[in-house]
Amino acid sequence: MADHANSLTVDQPYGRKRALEIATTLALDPELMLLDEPTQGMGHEDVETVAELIKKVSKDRTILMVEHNLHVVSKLADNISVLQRGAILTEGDYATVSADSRVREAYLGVSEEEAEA
Amino acid sequence: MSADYVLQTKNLIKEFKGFTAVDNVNLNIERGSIHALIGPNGAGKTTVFNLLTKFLIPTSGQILFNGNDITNMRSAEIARRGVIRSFQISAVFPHLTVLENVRIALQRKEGNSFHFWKSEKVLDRLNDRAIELSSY
Repeated sequence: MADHANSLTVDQPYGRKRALEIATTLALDPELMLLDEPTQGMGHEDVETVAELIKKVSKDRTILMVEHNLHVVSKLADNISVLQRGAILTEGDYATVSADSRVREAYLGVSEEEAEA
Repeated sequence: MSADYVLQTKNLIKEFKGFTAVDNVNLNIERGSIHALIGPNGAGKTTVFNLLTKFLIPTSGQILFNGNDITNMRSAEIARRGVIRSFQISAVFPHLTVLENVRIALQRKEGNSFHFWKSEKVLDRLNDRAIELSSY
């Protein structure tokens, strides 16, 4: 058994608590698992751990997640929907959406031309 | 043959007192995929998420799970069908161990959440899975 399994939850580091949140969700064996910013507020190391965990548990199920961390998105997401002002701006895999100038504009708040000026 | 979608939204709209937070969103979530919703702050990601998890009711539009209309179902109903949102940290019991928290979640799945008077042996049946999940 993992060392922390018999430790009080309150004493666990933040990343471990978030992992527990995923574990208790998995206990219900969801067909579709919805994750709301699973790496929010985490340090680099915890982000990697939780990203690995999501990858691992995605086998045989579907995961929809809201995620701010684009590194995590690039690593995990098969498909991405980019929202802006309540509407879908564009969709596709990471390579497709990250190459879309409208996406960069939405994130940076300036157009390419303005950015270069 | 169209792609196999677990979840779809059709023309989903959510308005708050005249402000359109979600504007005609059509999502198609492929079975077995990891699908990310991204966007700058205020783009409507969390509102979409809350509509999908039934924390909010859409102004108009449809949500389909495995082709069935779940737009008017409550979160407990869709959870029974297999659509589960991750619990917030606040939903775990801080003064129980990690293993105990996982075991409670497993008991919820088994539908015997309140059978705490059952023998240890019955509850221990869940332990292998609980130990596996606790290792996360």
